[in-house]
Amino acid sequence: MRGILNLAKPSGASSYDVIRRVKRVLGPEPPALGHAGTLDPLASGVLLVLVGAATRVSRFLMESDKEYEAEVEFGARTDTDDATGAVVAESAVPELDRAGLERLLARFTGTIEQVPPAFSALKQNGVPLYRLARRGIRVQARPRTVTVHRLELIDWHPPRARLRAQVSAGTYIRSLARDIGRAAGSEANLAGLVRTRSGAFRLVDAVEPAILTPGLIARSLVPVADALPGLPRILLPGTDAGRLARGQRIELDGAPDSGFALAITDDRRFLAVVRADHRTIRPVRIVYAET
Amino acid sequence: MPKPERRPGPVLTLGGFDGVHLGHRQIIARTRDLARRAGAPAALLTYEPLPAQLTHPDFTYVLTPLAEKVLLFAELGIETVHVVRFDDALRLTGPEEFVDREVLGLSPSAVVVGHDHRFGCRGEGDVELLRRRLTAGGARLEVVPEIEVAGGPVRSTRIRERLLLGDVGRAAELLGRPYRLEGQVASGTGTGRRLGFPTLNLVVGEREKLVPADGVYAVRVELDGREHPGLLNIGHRPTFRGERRTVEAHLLDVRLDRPPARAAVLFLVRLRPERKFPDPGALARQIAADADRARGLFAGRGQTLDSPHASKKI
Repeated sequence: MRGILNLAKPSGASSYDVIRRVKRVLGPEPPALGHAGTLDPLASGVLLVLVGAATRVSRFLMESDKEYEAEVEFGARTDTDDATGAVVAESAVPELDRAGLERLLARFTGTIEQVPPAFSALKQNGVPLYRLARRGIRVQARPRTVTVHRLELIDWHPPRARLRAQVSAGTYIRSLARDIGRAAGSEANLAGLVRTRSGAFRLVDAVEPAILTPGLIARSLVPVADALPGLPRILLPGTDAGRLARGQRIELDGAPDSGFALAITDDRRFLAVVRADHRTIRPVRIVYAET
Repeated sequence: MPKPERRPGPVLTLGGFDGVHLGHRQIIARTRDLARRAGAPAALLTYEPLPAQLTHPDFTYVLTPLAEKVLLFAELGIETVHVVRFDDALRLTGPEEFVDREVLGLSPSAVVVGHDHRFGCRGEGDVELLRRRLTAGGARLEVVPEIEVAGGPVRSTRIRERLLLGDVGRAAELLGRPYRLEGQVASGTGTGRRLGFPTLNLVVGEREKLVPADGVYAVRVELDGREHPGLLNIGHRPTFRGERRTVEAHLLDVRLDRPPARAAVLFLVRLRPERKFPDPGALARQIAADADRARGLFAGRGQTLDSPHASKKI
């Protein structure tokens, strides 16, 4: 059994709860299970659960763009940057009209620097940052560079704004909410989040974990070969597949010049992720090789 | 006018540093010394959460949560802690990119790591890769060798194993200080008080920090900055058919009028495993015996019950 399950994680469950659910449904000796891209307990939406050999392509699924619908609440910042945290700062809701808010959002599209959400662990032990400062030590979260491809305002009913965001992997919508609040001269946190798309997988096609049965899982599994439309495909003769499976690099006319690709035989019994380099390809990950 | 003197780039050390044990302390001390000599800031880069916490959601064996680590770093002379969020995106970062962005991004003049330091996607980055990349980036690398205590290397994993077995004495040796648990004090069921041994019920959050093996321990209890000798029970209270795992401290030298909001315990010696007694009276007699034994330890070996390495300069 192998493939990708597109599941609709409910709000309140952790990503791992969903995996546990799949494990239970699959019975006593389940295949390897993993997921591609954690979704916070607060959030709902597309969670990809990888079954069997599909766990070997998790990084390629994780690297894909994501789409979200986010509910941003102005007026308060929390220690987790979302509604699950404790309020640490309050301010007036900005007096912006729709056009004003849209102009503001435009500043958050493209390549931006983002500081990941506050580290709740710093507060769990009751040592707020200012106390650390008194001991002569500064704690700084490392920023990272992320890409916001699209950021649209769906609704603006102060204090809440509903946004649609298409972002690169590694982008924190919580941090985006916090930073938008700041930019508006106010504070904000993430009140709700739905992941509507992860790579090729859309929420409208996702299955509810609560109704899973062994039969439904088997029918819902998406083959690995169809799950990564972003990677170019290379059709392989069977003899070349054998060499790749042994870890050898092969020369191949028509292979891309660079980057990752999916190498597959026409009987679909062999699938590997390969790295292409000037008409040679070498295996990065053999997903499966059936003999 | 004299030109303002430019402080060189920080001397930086990298790692998860879970436990901030003797090996970590050596690395941090070297970082601080190099920084002082060069007139540079001493900086540290760490990850949150620990890589194991991300890849194994059931991992509940953290020795030192971030806040506790940072306070220890401060004591050891670190001025700035840079925290890299360890998540899927970081996990997919190649080792070269990691060094260029996260390490060289801080413009260090020198970097100090332990000899077995690994980083980047699946830990593909090692000391050699780090050295090559840093040299290209104009920073030098210093590698601190592993230290051995009690016949083995000092490693976080070894300390976790000792604590899960209740061997808090060996854990303290490896840590360079007794293992510490801190938490809020909750109101209990009053069982201890009825037995004549009132206890403080510590809420410690087992998901955030490792709780040692069930059993009875001699501990020091920290209350409002003062330390008291105490007796600690970790377990399910089998004599009373308890369901939840509890951490309860009994103070040997004082009676409190009202319980404090927070308390911490420092683990010194494990006295015995937890066990079920036929009746509460038998349990009370055993606790009295445990308390006598603990008092004896505190009285007779007061010195050795202190942190074995507290005064040892590393």
